[in-house]
Amino acid sequence: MFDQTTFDRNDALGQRLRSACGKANPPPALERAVKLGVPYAGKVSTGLHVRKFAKAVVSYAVCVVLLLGAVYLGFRLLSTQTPAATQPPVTAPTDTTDSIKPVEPTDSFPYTALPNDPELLLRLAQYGAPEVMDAKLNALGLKLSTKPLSTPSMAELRLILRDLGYDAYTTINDPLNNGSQPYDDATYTTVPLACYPTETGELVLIHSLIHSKQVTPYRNLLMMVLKSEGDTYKCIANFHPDHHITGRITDPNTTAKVQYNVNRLLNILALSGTKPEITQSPDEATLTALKDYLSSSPIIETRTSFYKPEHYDLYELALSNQAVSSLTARKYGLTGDETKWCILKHSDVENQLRTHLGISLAPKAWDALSEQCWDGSSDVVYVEEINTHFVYMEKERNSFALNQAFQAFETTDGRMIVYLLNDDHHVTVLLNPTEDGSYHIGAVQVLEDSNIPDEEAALFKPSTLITGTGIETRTVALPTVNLPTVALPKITVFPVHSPR
Amino acid sequence: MKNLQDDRDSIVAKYSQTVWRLALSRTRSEDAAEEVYQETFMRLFQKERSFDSEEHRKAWLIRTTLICCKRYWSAAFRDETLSLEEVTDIACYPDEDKGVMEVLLRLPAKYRIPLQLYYVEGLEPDECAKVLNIRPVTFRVRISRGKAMLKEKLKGEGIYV
Repeated sequence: MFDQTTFDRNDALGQRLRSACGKANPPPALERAVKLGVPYAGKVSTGLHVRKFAKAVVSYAVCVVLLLGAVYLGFRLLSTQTPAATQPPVTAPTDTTDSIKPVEPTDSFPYTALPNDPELLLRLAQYGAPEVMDAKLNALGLKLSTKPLSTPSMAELRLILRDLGYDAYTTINDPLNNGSQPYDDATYTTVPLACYPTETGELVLIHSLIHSKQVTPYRNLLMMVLKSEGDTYKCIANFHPDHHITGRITDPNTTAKVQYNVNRLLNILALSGTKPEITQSPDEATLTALKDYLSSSPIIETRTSFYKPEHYDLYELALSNQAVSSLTARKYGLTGDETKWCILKHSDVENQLRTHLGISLAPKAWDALSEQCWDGSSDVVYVEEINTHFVYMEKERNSFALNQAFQAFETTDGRMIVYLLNDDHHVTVLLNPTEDGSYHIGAVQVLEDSNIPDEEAALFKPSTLITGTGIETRTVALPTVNLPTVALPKITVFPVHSPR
Repeated sequence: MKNLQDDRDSIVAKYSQTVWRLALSRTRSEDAAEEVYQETFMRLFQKERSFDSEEHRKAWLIRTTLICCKRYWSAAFRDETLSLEEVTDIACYPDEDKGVMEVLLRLPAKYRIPLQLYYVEGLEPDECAKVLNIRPVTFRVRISRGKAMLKEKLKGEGIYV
């Protein structure tokens, strides 16, 4: 059927083709990057098409959800119009003394409904935990009611907050602080989330503080105590549990990476007997359910692949960035005693990042940081505070685009651990001190996330461990990189474990 | 760790050109080829894969390269109808070979890739058919037609072989 000469590889055409094609070579830098297992400049997005497809799916899903939401709201509006004719609607009061009535004990349950936001649910479960609330309320001589009492509806709570001036205010006009902290000119709004009565009729209100200038949505949960005064309420205390009670569960940036599985959480809550849409005063069962959820979630699976599982408490790990950083230290063979938080000058951190990683902090990074945890009077930043807040960085001359966030801390033996994050990679850098006071890079570990082919479930996968000179080509643009100056403990990349 | 790195180096060195040529030929864009090249090797190294032989590894790499190319172009945001004028990548070839490469790249992919696998990469017809996921007879037809088309086009460009 075929002429044998057709398949002669050594005919003139074959030789010409080989000659032409044989001279094609990939760029040397690309070849080198592939050998090292690090992304090539401008090609950090391996699996780009996968993410684009995922983005398209997500966009489509969001549209569908919005559409369904609009339809649902429409039905709700229609269905509530009929009873509204028989019940007086909640309207904005013209005279606050007549509009808001203090809470009267009744037999009705439950407390005010919560939004179905897993992060908020988790955080609220912490903030609303009796031991947490009690600690603060005790200082005021108050105690949460153990009897079922009715609380104002969400609409009524909004009116209460509005009457108190908390619907939209600036810090300079903070109703509670009397303008004592005019540190920025942003407008804040408080959104009520949950409400618990005390034995003496006060309302303990958990609310979210919305910052008008926050680029990244940052829901700052606060606790406010409202005391009834005749026919109205007065705010007698305003706590910031975000920083002072429990620490943060997670940063919004991390949340984007470490996605909570909403359905899974809600299912577990439902299994535990807690209706997701209605919260009760968080109890042991709820907390246990949350703990179970966390311990079996993909977060833990993937973290397990990063950290030695025996070194941490699952619950703590998921709930605390500080614990994560502490575990980063332990990953390098440091014991718990060695990971006490040290105090660093932020200029030191900045210098070290610039010198060793070629990264500069965006000016606003420190502004944001100082707003949260810098005391403003000195150059000192408490690292444990840093670790509760990701700090934005801008890409400068590194080809790796480590441009979003970092955590850094120093160990008591003088080593520095920097944790970097961007859309595609989690990078942990261990810096070893030298005699001249500078640092050398001891190790770099790069984790890539879900753009791995084969569509496996794990969010993060250990990909490459690079040490010594291996870093200098692509991971970061380093002026000089020396081999590790200390013998590092062996670092093992663990396989992804199945949920415990 | 060192052995692992050595192994990786030697594999990349050995198959670098094959993957690159194929990616470049299939995508006709150096930019796309870089991405495909990187992704192909990342796929190889991200998992511990065992191969029966070097031929098996080579076939896997070729197959993965073609899949990566396909997936690259299948993204909704990409334009598959890249004109030759846009293909600046041919500049990476020496002058005397540019003409041949231009003509080759102008061939439809269904003829271009079999020709490349057979003549340049040295795969046997049955191996080529397997990698391309087509029947051997189909492969032979494509080689035959592709070769005729290539000759014709080269002749049109004043290149006689």
